[in-house]
Amino acid sequence: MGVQKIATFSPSEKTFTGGGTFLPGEVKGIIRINPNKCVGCDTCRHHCPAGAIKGSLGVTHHIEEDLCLSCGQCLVNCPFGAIEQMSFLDEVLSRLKDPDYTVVAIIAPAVRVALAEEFGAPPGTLTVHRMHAAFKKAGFRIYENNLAADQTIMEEGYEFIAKVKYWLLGDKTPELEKFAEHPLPHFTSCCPAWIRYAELYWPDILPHISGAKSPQQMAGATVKTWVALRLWNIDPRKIYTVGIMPCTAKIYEASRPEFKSAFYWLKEKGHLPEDTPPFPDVDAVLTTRDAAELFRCLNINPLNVSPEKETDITEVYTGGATIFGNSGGVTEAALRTAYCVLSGQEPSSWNIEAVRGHTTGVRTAKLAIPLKPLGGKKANFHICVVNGVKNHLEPILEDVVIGKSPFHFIEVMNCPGGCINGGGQPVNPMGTSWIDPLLPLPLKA
Amino acid sequence: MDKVLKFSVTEKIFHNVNAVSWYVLAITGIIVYFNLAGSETKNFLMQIHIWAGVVFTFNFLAFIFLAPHRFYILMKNLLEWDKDTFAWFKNLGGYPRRFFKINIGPEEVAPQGKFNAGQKLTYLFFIFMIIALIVTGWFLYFAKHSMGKGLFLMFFYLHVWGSIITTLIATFGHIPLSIANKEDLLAMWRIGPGTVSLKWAKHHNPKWFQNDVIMRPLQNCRDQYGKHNCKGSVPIFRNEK
Repeated sequence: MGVQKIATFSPSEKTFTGGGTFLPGEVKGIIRINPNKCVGCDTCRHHCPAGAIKGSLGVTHHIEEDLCLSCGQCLVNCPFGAIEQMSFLDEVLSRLKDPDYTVVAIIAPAVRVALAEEFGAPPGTLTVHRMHAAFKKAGFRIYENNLAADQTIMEEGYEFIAKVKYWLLGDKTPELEKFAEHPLPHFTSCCPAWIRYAELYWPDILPHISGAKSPQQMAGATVKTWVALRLWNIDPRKIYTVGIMPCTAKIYEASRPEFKSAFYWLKEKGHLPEDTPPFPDVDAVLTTRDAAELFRCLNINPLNVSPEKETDITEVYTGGATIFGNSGGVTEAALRTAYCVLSGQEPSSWNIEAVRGHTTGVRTAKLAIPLKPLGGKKANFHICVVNGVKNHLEPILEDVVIGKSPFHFIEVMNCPGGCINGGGQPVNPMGTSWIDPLLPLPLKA
Repeated sequence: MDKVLKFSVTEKIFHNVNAVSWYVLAITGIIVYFNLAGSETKNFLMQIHIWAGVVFTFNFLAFIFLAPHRFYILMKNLLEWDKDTFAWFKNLGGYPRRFFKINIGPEEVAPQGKFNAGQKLTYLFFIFMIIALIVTGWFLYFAKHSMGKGLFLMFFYLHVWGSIITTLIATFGHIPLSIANKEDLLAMWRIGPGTVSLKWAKHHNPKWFQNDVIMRPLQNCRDQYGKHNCKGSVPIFRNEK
C-alpha cells in the first residue's frame, strides 16, 4: 500500500516572531489546515490532544496556533490530506550544497522503521546500515540519535534513581537536596508535544518532569562540542545539525531558545570568538516524510543503496535506545538502568514487557526491585505508560496534582503508539491511530 | 366505484416524508459541501442536516417495520421483471416520442405493471441510495474512528456524490415525469386516499390491473372506505380476495 501525500510549506518571517504562547525564535504554525481542502469532516478535532482545532461539522476548520502542540496527529489522521506541515527541506538542501558546512544527520529510531514505506516497501525493510549509507550519499555525516538516547537514559535513569533515594529511601545528602523540589512520580521528558502540553495546560506537573533533554537535543549539543572538538576536529560554527525525526513537534523543540547549550559551553570555554552570534544545538529538523523527499530530490533510493560495512563511533548504540521509538520504550530502558543501579544486579530478563504499552491507552505495571541499600529488601515500583495524550492523560495528571497518584514513574507519549506513529511519519492512507479514540479495546498492534 | 387504491397511507407517508426530508438534506448538504455560505450559516445548516437525517432514517425504518407487508409488496413490484418489462426499454415507455418527438422503437408501449421498467429501475436505485445514505451518514457522524481513513473516504464520497446524483435524477427525471402523470401525482400527494381512476390504471398499469386488481360486486353497499355505494362493483386486490 502506498503512502498518503502530505503537502508542505516553507517557513515565513512570521514563523519566528514569537508572540502568544511562543517565545521569539520559536517556530510556530508548524501545522496548518488548508481551507481549500478541508471539508469540515471534523475528524482532526477528535485527534487533537490540546483542543487547538476549531470548527464544527461541515465548517472549514482551523488551528489556534497558541494552543497547538505541533504534534501533527491531526495531519496524519486527516482523511482528505487537508493538513499541511512546515518543512525546512529547502534550507537543508542548500546547506548540503555548501562545502563550508558539515551537515550532520541525527536519525531517530522510529525513522528507520518507517522510511522504507515512502519508497513502496513494507515498514522495517530498510536496514540501519543501508539507511546510514543513503544519508552519507546525500552528503550528511551521522550522529546516531540512538547514541544520544543512551545518554538520555543515563541522565533520566539516574535522575529517577536519585529521586527514589531522596523521596523513598530518605537519603537527604547535599547532592540530592535539589530533588526536594522535584517529587515523585517521575515523568519522562523526551516527547516535545507532551512537554508543551504540560507547560500550557498542566504547569503544576512541571516539577515532576525529568530535567533530561530529549535525545535530539543531547545529540545536537554533543555534536557541536565533543564530536566537533574531539572527534572530527571541525569548527563548531560550521556544523549544521539536522534532526531526522518521526515528529513534527521536534521542529518546535529544536527552536526553543534554551537549547543553545553548545554555544554557551563553547563560549565559556573560549572555543568561540567573542562576536559569535548564538546558534542552536539543532539547526533544523526534517520529518521522516521530509527525509524521503530529500532523497527523492537527490535521486537516491535508500532501498537500493549498498549498506555500509563500517560503523563510525558516532553510530553505535544499545538496544535500549532503539526501543525509545515505541510507547513504553523509554520506560523500559530507564527501568533497566534503575534496576541495575538500585539492586546492584542485573534483572532476570532485560525485556520488561509489562510496560510495553502500545495496545492500550494506559498501561500500568508493578516492578519489584531488590534495593541494595535496604539489604536486598524488595520494593514495588508502580509504573504507568500513557500511550497517547488524548483521552488518557488527564485522570493520571489529576491524581498527581492532588497527591494521590499511586505511580513512581510515568511515561507520556503524545502520539498513540509512541514516536513510531508520530506526526512526521509516512501517512498510512487507511489510518493508523484512528481506532485510538475507541480504546480501551483489546486491540493487537 | 371508479377508483382503485394505488398508494396506501403508509406508502404515502413514507414517500412524502422521504421526499421533503430528502430535499432538506440535499439543499443543506450541497450548501455545506460546496461552501456556499459563511461558517455560522453552514454550522446551522449542518444541524438541520443532521436532524433531517434523523427524520429521514426513522421514516424509512418505520415504513419497513410498521408496514412490512407494504414494503414487501413494493419490493415485489419492483423486483418482478418479465418480457414486457424489458420491452419497455425499446421505446423508453414512449416518453421520448411524447415529449421530444424523438421516435425510438415501436409506437406501442409494452403493457406494464404497477410500475413501468423505468420506474422499477429508478425506484430500486432510490431505495438502494436511501439505505446507502442512511448507513454512510450515521457512520460518518458517529463511527468515523471505527472505519479507518480509506473506508471513511469511500463512505464520504458515496454520501456526497451518491446523494447529488440521486437528487439530479429525482429533480430532472422523477419529478417532471410525475407531474406529467397527474393522477399518480395527486394520488400520492393529496390529503386523502391514494386512489387513481380505473381508467387511468387500466391505461398506464394494465398488467397490474389485470393481475392484481379484481372487481368484486358490491355486497353490503359500502365501498372500501366505508361510504355508501350500492352500484356496480368495487376493486379489491387479488391478495385480499
